[in-house]
Amino acid sequence: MKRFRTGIPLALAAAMVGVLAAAAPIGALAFTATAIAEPDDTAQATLDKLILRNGKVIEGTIIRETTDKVYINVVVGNLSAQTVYEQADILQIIHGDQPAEADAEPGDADQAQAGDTPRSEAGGEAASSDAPSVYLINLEGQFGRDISPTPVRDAMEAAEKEQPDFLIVYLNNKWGDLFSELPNDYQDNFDWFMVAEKIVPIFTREIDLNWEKKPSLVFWVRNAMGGAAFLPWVADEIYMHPEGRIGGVGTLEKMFEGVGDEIVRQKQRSLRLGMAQGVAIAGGYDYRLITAMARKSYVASYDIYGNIYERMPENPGEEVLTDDGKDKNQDTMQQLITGEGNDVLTLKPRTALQLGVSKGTAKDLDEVLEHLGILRNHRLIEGRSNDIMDDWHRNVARAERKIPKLWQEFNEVQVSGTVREQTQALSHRISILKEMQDLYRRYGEAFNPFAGGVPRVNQLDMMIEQINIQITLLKA
Amino acid sequence: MRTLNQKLAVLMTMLAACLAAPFAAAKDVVVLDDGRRVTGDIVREIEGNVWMLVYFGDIKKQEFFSAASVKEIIRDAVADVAEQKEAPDKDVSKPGTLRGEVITLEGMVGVEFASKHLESLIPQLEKDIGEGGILVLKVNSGGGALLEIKPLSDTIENELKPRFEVVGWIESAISAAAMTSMTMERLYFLPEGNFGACTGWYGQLTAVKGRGLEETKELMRMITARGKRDYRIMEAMQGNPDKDTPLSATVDPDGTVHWYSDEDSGKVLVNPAGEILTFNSVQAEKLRFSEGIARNLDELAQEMGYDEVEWVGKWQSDLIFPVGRAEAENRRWRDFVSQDNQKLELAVAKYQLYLGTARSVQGKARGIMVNKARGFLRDIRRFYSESPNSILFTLNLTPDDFELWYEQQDEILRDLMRP
Repeated sequence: MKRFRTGIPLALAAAMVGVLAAAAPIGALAFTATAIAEPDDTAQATLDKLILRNGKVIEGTIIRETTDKVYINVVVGNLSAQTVYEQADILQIIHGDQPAEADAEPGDADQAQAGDTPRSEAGGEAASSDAPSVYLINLEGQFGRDISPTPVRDAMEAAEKEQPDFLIVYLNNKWGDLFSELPNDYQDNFDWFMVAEKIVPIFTREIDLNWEKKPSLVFWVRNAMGGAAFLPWVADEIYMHPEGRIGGVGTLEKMFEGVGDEIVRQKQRSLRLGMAQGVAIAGGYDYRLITAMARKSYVASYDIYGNIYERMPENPGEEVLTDDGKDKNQDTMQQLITGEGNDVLTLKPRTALQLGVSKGTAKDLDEVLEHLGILRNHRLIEGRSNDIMDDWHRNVARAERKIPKLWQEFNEVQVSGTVREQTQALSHRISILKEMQDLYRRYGEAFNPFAGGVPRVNQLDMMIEQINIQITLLKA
Repeated sequence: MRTLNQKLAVLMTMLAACLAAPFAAAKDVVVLDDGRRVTGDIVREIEGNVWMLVYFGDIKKQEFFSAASVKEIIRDAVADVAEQKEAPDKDVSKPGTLRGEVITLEGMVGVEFASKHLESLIPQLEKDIGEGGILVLKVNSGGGALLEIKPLSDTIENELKPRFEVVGWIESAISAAAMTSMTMERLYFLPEGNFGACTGWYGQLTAVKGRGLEETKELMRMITARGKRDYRIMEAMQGNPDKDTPLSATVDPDGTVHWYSDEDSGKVLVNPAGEILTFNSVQAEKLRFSEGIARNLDELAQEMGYDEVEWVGKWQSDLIFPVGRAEAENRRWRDFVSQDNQKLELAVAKYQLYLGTARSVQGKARGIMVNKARGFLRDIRRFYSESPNSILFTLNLTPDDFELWYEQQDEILRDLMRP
């Protein structure tokens, strides 16, 4: 079972996106950034490669090899950084001036890439035929409406058909108040977990059970706020957009405020928190991060190694993750507006990286692929998933427009004339109601994410029954 | 007529027979750390943990003793050749032959998660996995009716435990579902598992207080004892409107856990004052509340100490366990009584609609309406037969009241048909 990830392996990723100051030095794998290297095609053609046991390929110039470590100057795009890998984590070392073992045989189908720099799709060249495949799904829009179980499941089914090696989910849900983009991490949004928990198994259990080939599931997070904050924890790896945020589920203490007895309110909060913590645990992350996101009263600090302490900082190098939010600790309006508050946790790139939640920061897909070590050699698969998500968005909007029109049409049906005419009119009314039912069945989860349209379907069912009675009485 | 003395003599004889029975059938004695000596048949031993069949008259029950609690094992303490010949049908010492089945307990406690139905699965379970087989009760429920907790606990304790090796596999056990699951000595969690939040409430988040609270607490003292757990854990999960119920704990190096009803005595603060306890899978394992975390049946078997278990049933693409015949029936039934699709509510509403219409029309039309109403009334009865408590939550009628109500409705329909 995956366990909580420490901050140590994240050092390289940090260097690549320029958040070095916060991340270094980090233990045995400390590194320093070198000057930005000029792109050098000749040099890149002879780069050394480390094939790691987790499937990643690291390219650069090996500086020194010992029995247990490899020191390498890693080159990614225009950046280079020196870092260290444990020999135990390395499957194979391919020196730039040597062909890979697998490619050395004459006549081998893969010989084309032997000793060559893998061809970069990003650079406009074709990737090798056995390059890892990448599939991208965009989850954008309103959580619970645009990002809801049915389209996500359909999008994933489309992805499954392509059997990608890497499935990258770009998560960027709409978040804001009346002015749309002002961050507000204090909305009463925890119950959107009830929607998230219907989506989570699509990425976890359904992949485990149904996918012939299990991809490496990567979440690239720009906005995971409110209910969407519970989704990234399903990922094997999380990368943050430079503006990325995960949070907006506090504060739990405000939930049910003023309703009933305190002890029952506490019960309701406790069970919700327990359920949400489970999502993080199942993904191999520290459940206390969910507590910090949800409870204003929760106090925690962390150090540069990603360790969390359930207290305020006591030692040099420790930072506040969340304070108790009381009195002078209460976030100011300015902190709320700038998103720098710490009454509840909103994970941002730097903190996410230090806590081991994120493996790096990526402003575009290429940077995600760089982090994954496949930028130079991958196949980006064009699947239907994003069309499915777009279609859902459009169809929900159409359904929302259509239902009032159908209702108007229903009311405009005149029931008069002969028995036959009246029966026909009533039958028409039934067909309109059935069409409305169908729309609720198909898109009800977007109209009412908590009930999936069931109440309206049943109400319409009763109306149909009443009309059936009218028809029966007409004929009797 | 027999005299009182004769009756007493008969009773004494029966009692003596009951007391003698365990010794006649027994071979082994487990001496526990607390001084107790338990006599019965050891059916399985793994790393010092002992599973033993103990006898109470005709009732046979499987008990589990953790390695930490066992001081000594005396084998064949009461040798009985005749009994040895009547060894259990199943050779449970051969792990390869051990069969197991998962039964899911989901939905609302008292409606979809109900004792009467669970008990009805026993004959099929006996066919599926045999005596001594592993019965995994996989719990995923947000709670429900307090009134169903004791019947469920009784079923697990008195009907399932004596027949099967019962373990809980917790996906989500909240409130009444957690209180019920406390009956099981051995609980395993899915990684996402959660367990607790047992505060009784009604209406607009109003806490159960006074006599109702005390009765629930007493019930849970009994159930936690059945599960061999410390009541203070349940107290922190239940809470108390009149006082905080903090909980702390210390785990000794040998795995023994000491629980304290305050924040400071234990090394680990489990539940701060003013809060209600819900365990997640990590906390539960760390504090030995659970036996471990298992994301699938292989891991579960491994956590239980078995190399191999034959899990009966057919695998489905959407489930992490195979569906045996008992579970298939369980799922069929649950789908029927499920509150999610509101079938009962619809049947009640339609019955009332047709009844109302029948009252307002005459002649042939009335006959048609009454017939329709009668159809829906029969549907309501079917729901009642399958799940008596569902009527309580929909029509606010107890089972006894329902019989009267049904009779009354039937009469109304008959009266409407009179000329």
